[in-house]
Amino acid sequence: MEKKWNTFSIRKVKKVNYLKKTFFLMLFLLTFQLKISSENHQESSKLISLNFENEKLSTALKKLEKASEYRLIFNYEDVESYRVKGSFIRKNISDILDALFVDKPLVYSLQAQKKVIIITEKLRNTNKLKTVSGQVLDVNKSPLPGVNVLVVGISHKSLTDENGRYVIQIPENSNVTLFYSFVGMKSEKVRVKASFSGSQLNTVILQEDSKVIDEVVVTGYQTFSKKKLTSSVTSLKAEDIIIPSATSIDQMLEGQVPDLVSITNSGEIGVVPKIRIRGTSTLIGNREPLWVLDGVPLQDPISIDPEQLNDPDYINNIGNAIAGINPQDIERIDILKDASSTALYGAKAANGVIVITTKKGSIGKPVFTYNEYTTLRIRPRYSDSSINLMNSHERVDFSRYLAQNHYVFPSSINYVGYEGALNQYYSKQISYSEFSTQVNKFETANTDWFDLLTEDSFSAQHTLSVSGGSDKVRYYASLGLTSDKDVVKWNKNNRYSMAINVDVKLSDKSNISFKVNGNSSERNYYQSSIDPINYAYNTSRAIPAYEDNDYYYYQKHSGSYTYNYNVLNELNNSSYNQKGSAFSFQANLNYNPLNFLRLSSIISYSLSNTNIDSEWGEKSYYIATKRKSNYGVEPGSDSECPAGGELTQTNSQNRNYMGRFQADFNKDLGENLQHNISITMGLEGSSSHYNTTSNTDRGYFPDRGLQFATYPTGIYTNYDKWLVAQKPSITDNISNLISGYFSISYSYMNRLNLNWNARYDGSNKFGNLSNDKMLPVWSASTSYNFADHLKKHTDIFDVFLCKFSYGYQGNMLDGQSPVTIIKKKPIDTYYNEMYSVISTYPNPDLKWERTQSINTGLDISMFKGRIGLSTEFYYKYTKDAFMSKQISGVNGLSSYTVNGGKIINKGYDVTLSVVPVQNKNWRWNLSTSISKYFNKIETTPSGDQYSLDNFLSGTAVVKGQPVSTFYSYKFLGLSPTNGEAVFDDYTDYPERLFSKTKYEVFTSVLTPSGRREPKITGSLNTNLRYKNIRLSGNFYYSLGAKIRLFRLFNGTSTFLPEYNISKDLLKRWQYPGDEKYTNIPAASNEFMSSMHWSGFTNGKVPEIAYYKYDMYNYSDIRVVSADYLKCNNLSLSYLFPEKLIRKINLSRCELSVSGSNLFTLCSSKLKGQTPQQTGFASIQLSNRPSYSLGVNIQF
Amino acid sequence: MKYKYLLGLICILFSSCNDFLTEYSQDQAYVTSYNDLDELLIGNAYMKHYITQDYQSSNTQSYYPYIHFMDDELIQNGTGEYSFTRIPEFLFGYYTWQREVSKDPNGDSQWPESQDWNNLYSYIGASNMILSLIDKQSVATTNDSINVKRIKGEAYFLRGSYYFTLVNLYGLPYSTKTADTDPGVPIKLTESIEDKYFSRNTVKDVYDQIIQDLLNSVNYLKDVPHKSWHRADYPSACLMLSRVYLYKQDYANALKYAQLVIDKKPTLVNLNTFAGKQFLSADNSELLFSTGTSQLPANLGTYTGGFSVSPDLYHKYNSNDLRTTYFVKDTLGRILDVKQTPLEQGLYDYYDISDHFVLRVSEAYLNLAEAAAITGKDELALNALNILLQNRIRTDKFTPLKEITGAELVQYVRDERCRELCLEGHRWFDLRRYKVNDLYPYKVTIEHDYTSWSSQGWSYFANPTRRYTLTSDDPAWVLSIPKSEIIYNEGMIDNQRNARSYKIVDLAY
Repeated sequence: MEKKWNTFSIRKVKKVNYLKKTFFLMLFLLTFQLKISSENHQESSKLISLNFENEKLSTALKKLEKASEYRLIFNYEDVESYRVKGSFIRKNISDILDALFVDKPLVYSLQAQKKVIIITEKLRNTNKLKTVSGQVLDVNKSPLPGVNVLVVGISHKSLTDENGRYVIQIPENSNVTLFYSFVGMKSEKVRVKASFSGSQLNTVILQEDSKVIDEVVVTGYQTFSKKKLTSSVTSLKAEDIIIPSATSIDQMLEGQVPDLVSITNSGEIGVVPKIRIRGTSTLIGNREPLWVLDGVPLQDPISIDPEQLNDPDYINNIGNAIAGINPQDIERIDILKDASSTALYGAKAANGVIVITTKKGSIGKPVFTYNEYTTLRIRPRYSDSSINLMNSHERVDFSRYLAQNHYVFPSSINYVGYEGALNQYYSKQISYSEFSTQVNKFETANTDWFDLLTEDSFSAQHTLSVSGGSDKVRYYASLGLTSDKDVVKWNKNNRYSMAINVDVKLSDKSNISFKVNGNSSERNYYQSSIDPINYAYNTSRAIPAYEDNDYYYYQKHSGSYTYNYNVLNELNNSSYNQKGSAFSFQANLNYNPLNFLRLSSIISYSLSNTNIDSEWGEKSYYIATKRKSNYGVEPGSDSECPAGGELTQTNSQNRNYMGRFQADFNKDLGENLQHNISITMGLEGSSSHYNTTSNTDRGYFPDRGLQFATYPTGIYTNYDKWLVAQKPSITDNISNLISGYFSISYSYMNRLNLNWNARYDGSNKFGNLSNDKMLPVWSASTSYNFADHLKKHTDIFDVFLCKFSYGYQGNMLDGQSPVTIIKKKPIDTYYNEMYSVISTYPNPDLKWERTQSINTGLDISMFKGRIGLSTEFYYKYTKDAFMSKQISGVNGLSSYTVNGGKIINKGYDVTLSVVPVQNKNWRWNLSTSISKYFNKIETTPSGDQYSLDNFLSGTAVVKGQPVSTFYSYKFLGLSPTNGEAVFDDYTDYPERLFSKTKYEVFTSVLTPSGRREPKITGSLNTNLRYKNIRLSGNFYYSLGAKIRLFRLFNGTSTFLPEYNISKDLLKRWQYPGDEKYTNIPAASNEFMSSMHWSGFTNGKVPEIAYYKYDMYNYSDIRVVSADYLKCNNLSLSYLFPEKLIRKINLSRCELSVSGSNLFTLCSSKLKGQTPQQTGFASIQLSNRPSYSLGVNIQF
Repeated sequence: MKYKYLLGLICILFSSCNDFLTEYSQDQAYVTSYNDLDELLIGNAYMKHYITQDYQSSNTQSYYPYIHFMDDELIQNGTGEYSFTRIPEFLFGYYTWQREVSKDPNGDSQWPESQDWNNLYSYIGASNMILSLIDKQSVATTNDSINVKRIKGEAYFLRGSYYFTLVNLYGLPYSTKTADTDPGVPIKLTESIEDKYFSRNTVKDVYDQIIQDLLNSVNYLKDVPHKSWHRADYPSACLMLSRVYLYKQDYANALKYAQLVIDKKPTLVNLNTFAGKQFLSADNSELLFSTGTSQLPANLGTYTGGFSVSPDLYHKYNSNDLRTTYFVKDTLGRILDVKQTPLEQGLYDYYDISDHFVLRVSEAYLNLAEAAAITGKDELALNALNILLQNRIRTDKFTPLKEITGAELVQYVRDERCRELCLEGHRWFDLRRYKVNDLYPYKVTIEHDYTSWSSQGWSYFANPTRRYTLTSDDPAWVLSIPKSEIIYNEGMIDNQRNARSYKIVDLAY
């Protein structure tokens, strides 16, 4: 057999040579070498030097414990009467103990694996044994099978059965100690005195060893002790951050992680927050972090263009990679922030990594947990302080004022409300009394748009899970149902999810685990162009919604035509439904052939389907504009949709698979095992396939068997043209990646740690430069724990860790190539030949976008974890950032991508956590963190690259300014003669702007108003427990961001009859002298419609502004601070006493009440506008206050 | 033994590696054969054929339509029933030779002035790329080498022709005295992007480059089969070359290459027996090559406010000339372009043949006649003219030309050129070069009347008509370099155009 094995292995090695893959060879050579070195290995332990001069044995043992790496367990009664002396130099702990106990009736047992030494009295010589029995339970009072029960001092051992019961024989006339130990649990010891005569021992309850979770860091590739941490990682327990009103874990991260900023522009359900970890270090590339679930990087269900994702006004309600994961299934979250912690993920981790670890089964009888939250969301109301709008009386008064002052409306307005009645009266369609009646009706209408379009809503989340298992097999399974209803009546999300995790121990050396996740979701939204919240804000309350039991329609212009419009009709006759389903499977196989070598592999497969049906019904205004007639009226001859509605279907499929093979080598070396070397190396292959088809069709009749009407060609020529132009579109994208990674760490005495990581990727990306040039992703880091040194002086420090890391990351843009890339097109009907077009011009000089980063930090833990302080500083310098550069048209194209940008990101954070009170009844945790962040661009973009709108919205890149800096007009005051706003806009000396580029003109005429992202963010978390009552709160603050007030003037059409108007305009300039008290301009035609001078310079000066009112909306006086303090969540929970619930067979029952978004403190200048709403494009739903009731039951 | 499985796993992983990392894209590809380059010619080097007919201000789908509006071939319709049209606003700047051609009378930008510059340079860029990649493609068979020659010939033809258009739009006409100092357009022959400030090469440099490209084209295309009239062939290249030599006043070569065209393809359409639906169509037997779009016919009309063919042009034809039936036609008192319009209205509203870049055999006769007339080879000139006229004048009224000589003959050829090649984008360039002709300079002054209309409710009224004049020595015979290029390319010289005054004229409405 021995011989056979040898030949086999030699043959294999030969085969390896043929493969000629360097990495592979390295891996095997290493395993081979390790095998040799292991044979010389012998178990030995740390050497200790101590000196005792007639000391109490108990003191001596304590000293010995401190000097050694063992925990000494003993009873004071056993040792208190002895004194010891002796001097030991570089001795093993067992030698010392032997010497100390030489003349004493004490024995010890050493458990090397657990680093525990138990000291007991020597059993008196007796052969008499007696049998005792007992039971071991966990904290949930569930029996624990497989617990080791040991009689200390003799070799009697026993295991608990499936009911947690055990039987063991103990000496009859001695004091004995029973020792209970179990993986993942804190060990317990129970002393049985010689006087004990019964046979039934007390029940023993083992506590979970929470240190196991608290003191490690999970990166997805490695798990290691926090004490050895050299990089920047924040670890969270999911249960600590659960917010009942949120349905996805990403919505719960705000305020929980230093250096992580989460931005949500809309308070609607299912909106994905934008997450930025340590700022923005790319100008054109993706800025979102990478999500990793149990070691496997996740893909979004639908791939969205980075440019769109980076747009600060974009609202993503399609959902991201983790939207399908039930937060209740999540155990922990690790956020990897610096280059060193993310290096093993390669280039795609440039924006940080969020590692999610799901729950696993725990050994014991099956425990069922049912968790339920009911959430009440509160809709917006006109009475909210945030809504500063006129009521219908004020609005009609305003219209009257405009009419009296001969305000001229644009030519094609929608005649409705007061203006509608006036128009009818002037054109003699109605009498004065009819006019008065109508106006009276409008004045008293006070239509409550918020009531019509929104409602207080109830949502519910249910999770039922079961967890249990034995020493061999452990399992966790859960079912989740989430029914999320928004305050906007047409929005609803449902999600059904399930998860199964099974861990199987195959042998002492190997185990395998399986994981299955599945979810199905349905998201219903309104058609985004209707925008009900924006409508409620902007629509006059004088316009009724209903009339004579039917909708009240007004005539809305579409070009030169008008059609009936009512927002409720529009919403009820259109829909946007997204159905998604996802399934993933994962298997992990671990094998420890030697105690210092671990081989592991992961295989995973996931599949997700997303179908979006976007529908417009035939009764909608949208279809009327296509049909060219109102509903029920013959379609116009120029109709583009003669019958039925319109349906757009988009189906996306994403399939991923991944395989990983990894070898971990971890070994203590040296005489005293003071050196530890750990090496991780692995190979990984992954493939992601996106497939999307999209098609739009008209003539749709959903209520007539989901069918489409057909028309012979020639009747409606516009429809025919539309049909011809309408083609389904298909996209198909496969990205494959093969990577090798390597990590080596050295640790000296657990104090000094050194680490080096590197990774190499190869991909199938078409024409990608990264395939041709070596990817520079590597990092080096170190840390030193001073706690051991400090122990000589003081006892208070558990950890005093200084760390430093340096990393180098590269990033490459898709669609750039050193050679020409063409796109093959189908036949050209004019030339009657197949043709191709150039899709990528060669860009051979393009280099990697390179980011160098430094992270340095200090972690201090004092008083056995009662006080924790950590602080970090980082500096990221991105050079050769990709920028689009304008070039001469002589090249045949107008711009191309260059490595031009330089961006600096730096910041620091401080986190303090304190446990001021901790005793049997009370426990109070308090933690606070503050992060400050600076960002600067050090590149001047080319002169004409950014337009006026880019400057006003903060998407222009300006040298010396942070990313997202937005610009405003300089407001000087109101004119005393006519109340117009006056600006510092070079009106009197336009020649100073002649022959300057757009960049120069805009940066001199406009003034930077600040950035849209905050400079400082921070949070305060508090958790107070008194017996069974727990109160916790999470507060978040954000400082340094600036925000524009909602537009006061809505285009030239500000005062259109159907629009509501801000109450601010009641304080407008009306008479000379008012300018001293107000900065709201007069509502005059002159102001509203006068064009800016820069439009008349024959192009000598680029247009600086279009209209004066625009300048007012975007002027610096309309910019206010967006600083705020928000109460994210407050919750109160009560855990029922066991006695009470035992009767109904429950092992745990907890009730909780919580509130989210309860209040926000912010600048009064915001006039109640919510500071979180940094979007400039349109008014979005603010984060709604919500109240939740939760139940958590275990049985 | 467990190593065995492990090894097996890794082996599988690696053996599938090569396939796994094969680059994949739905529709993108590298250039792997000359066929790809042949397809690129259609996609990026030949001009597009746009279906859109109307000129639109934001329209990126047209090729220098103003070339027809700057010369004396078109006028704005005066008296009559007004019909709203924006065409005069769009093309106002060109039609009245303003300093800023893209602006309407109110100073609003109406026309993307850099569009043609950018388009032509992007086609040149594609030609450069094709020429640089073609020699890297594998050639195995004779057929392969023929195709490679054809692709090279077409790419050289296109590059030369586009530079010819560019230098005539943005540079002074070729004057034998000043061509080596007059600024032309920048020449770029490399395929890679050059992120630098370009400066203008001299007119002579540009012409030398054009001739070199076209000579290459002639060489490569000489004995290769022709794919279709959409693509350049040997006669097209020769004809283009003869045109360029004529512009350069190199009459010997102009004559030589015109003769080569006629030797190869002498066919002319005889209008006396013409039975087609329209003159300029794919069926026309004298058509050699066409690329681009035809929009002019659709934008001319009889209504007031719009444009039609100038009576001056119409009066150049005599009553026996059949071209007044097939080229320009009196319709309700206005002259319309019927060269490409179906003779039976309503049959067809799709124009195949370009209105700005078309090569026909008749031009070869005219080039030959002009070169011969100027160099005193009167017989040769008259002979060529007679062959053409035979096919254009009613047979019963046709008498061959004779005994015309010297300046009179040159003028006759030039007028004949105007009659024959009208509305095909020749006239503006021809008028430019006649000005600087060494032997027979011809100075012309053009007047354009422009009327704008204002609305009052649903009715329109005419504003006073303005008359603009372009004299022979006016700087506006050259377009300004697009502003974006002047701003970008520091130091590039612009063509200084003058502000233009007008006088109000009283037209009876």
